[in-house]
Amino acid sequence: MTNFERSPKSCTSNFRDNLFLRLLRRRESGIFLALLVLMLTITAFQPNFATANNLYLIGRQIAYTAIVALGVFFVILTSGIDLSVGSVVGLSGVICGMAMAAGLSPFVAVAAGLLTGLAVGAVNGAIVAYVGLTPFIVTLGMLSMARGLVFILTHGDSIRAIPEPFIRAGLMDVLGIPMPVIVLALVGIIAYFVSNHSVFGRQLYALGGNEQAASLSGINTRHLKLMAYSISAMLSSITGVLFVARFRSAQANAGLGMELDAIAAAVIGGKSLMGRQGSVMAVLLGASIMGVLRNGLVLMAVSSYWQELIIGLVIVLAAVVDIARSRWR
Amino acid sequence: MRKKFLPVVISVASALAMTGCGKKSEEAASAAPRIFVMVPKGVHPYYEPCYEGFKDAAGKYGVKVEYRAAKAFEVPQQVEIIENIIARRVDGIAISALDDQGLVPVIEEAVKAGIKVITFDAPAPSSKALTYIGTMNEAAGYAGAEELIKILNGEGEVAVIQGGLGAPNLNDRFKGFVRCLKEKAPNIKIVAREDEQGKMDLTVNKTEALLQAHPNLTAIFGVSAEVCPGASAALKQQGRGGKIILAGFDDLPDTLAGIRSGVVNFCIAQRTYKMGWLSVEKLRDALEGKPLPKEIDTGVVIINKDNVDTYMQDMKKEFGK
Repeated sequence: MTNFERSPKSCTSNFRDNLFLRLLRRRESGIFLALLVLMLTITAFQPNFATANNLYLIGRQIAYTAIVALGVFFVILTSGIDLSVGSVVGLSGVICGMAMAAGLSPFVAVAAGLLTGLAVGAVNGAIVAYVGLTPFIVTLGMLSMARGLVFILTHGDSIRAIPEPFIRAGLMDVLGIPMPVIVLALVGIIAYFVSNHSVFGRQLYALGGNEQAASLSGINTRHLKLMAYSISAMLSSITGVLFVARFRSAQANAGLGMELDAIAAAVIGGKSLMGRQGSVMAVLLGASIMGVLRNGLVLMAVSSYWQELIIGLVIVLAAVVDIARSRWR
Repeated sequence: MRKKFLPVVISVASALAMTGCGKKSEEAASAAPRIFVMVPKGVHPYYEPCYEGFKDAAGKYGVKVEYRAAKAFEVPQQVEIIENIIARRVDGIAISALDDQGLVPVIEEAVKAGIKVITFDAPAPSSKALTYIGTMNEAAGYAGAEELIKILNGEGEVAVIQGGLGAPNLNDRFKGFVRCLKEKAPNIKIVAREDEQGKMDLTVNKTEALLQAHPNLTAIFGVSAEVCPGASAALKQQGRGGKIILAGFDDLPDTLAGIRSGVVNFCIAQRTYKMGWLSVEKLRDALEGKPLPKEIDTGVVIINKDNVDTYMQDMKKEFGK
């Protein structure tokens, strides 16, 4: 139960030191420091990294993955896992693209894409919560089914009849901030309040901490799970729709393998896969480390044979540091 | 896709049944027409022109053809499909091999059953397949570099993007590409070789990073199919479409659209129709006991603005279609 005290709410109230110390003690500060060190290192090797243009591009690249990672975050909070998110990105994008290709208004198309995500998530959640299957199996099956549906619908081809106004909207800047980052900010703020300042959020942490205890204390754990998987797939479909603008087409293999990046972001963000830990901020930082690393390795001209090894190393290293941190406390 | 082809198969078969009696070809001499089956790696639009060539050649020679595609690109599924075909005692099978070692036993089984087996598009050199009809990837990479040298006038910085570093066909293309630049244009420098793992988003991200890392980049060359669609999206977003030379492999519809709009300079396409057509001819040769060469290079076609709308027809004209 000691771990439970480190849920974001109780953490801050435990320390009455000054603000700086309090910030330093938070798990996020360690990850933030790591991100900073990473960025400085890359800049030292390749000054081109820290240009405004590159940071803009990285921000946009990170946003797509981070939105998906935030969805997975809710599922991981419940000690579950969602492996289907990458396929949901593909499926919702294809539905959105097909709707526009059929002449429907982009608003309707976006709604169709998001509803697709919601529906897939509801199916995942219902099977996990009410049938009681392991999330790993359910979402692994869904990974295959959703991608299969994409191939049935598209025969592997892409949908290119995307109206130009939609593409412009999906890539436009507001005050110099790219659209996906704005969407991420909105999603992040909502996710923060839902996870940290709502009854639902506290119940999720409780469910992840000890399902039986949560259930005995009157929490409807099944309903919570249904909601968590629905949120996860719904957020994935946001990225799915944004990808249609980014690729100027709905691609059959959009989001391929994205579940791994999203889960990696969550793990770097300091969450054990056992649930109940982590925060929205930590996930965003985790996604940022992944994005910065991917971009930085290309900029530093690191051989492509080495890149994957380094990325994997960073993921494991982050997890090791996190465990070490929690033991020293 | 199988459903889509079924009516075609039936109509070809019935057309043969109607005209077959008057023909004096060897096929008609035997009681039933010979049956050749095409087995692609799985359901994919890439194989449509392959089968078209297969079908058209079958029409010419009075052979009955079928198409059997697995739902997924998985070796066990492909093996199962081939096993089912063997059980039906067909005359010839043309396989686009998903795997070399994985298909060795099932191909041996087919050969034992007296069925002629060849590979097209993707080889299985360890197996008893009689020949391989397809693109020699190293030569194809070489041809791509030759075209790029022409456009760049022999100078510039090129970044190569590849989808997966473990795919032998892609590595061969890269090898041929590098060899050609070394031999013919030592002033063209390959400044980067990035892996996008067959992922669209990674392709776009890496293109963006490459443009940032190499301000003097003059060209991007894609060794795998998804590079041109992904890189062209990134170039368009930055308003650099047409300013950076973009070229790569395979004639995906997105790539062709890119050629029409000027973002993609050229693409290298495999002669898929020819693969299908030659498959029928070589299976016939094998049945007649003629020796087959180990490999048959179908070559590539360079597609640019001039022939983007006609290249498919041009490829068929070669065979009088």
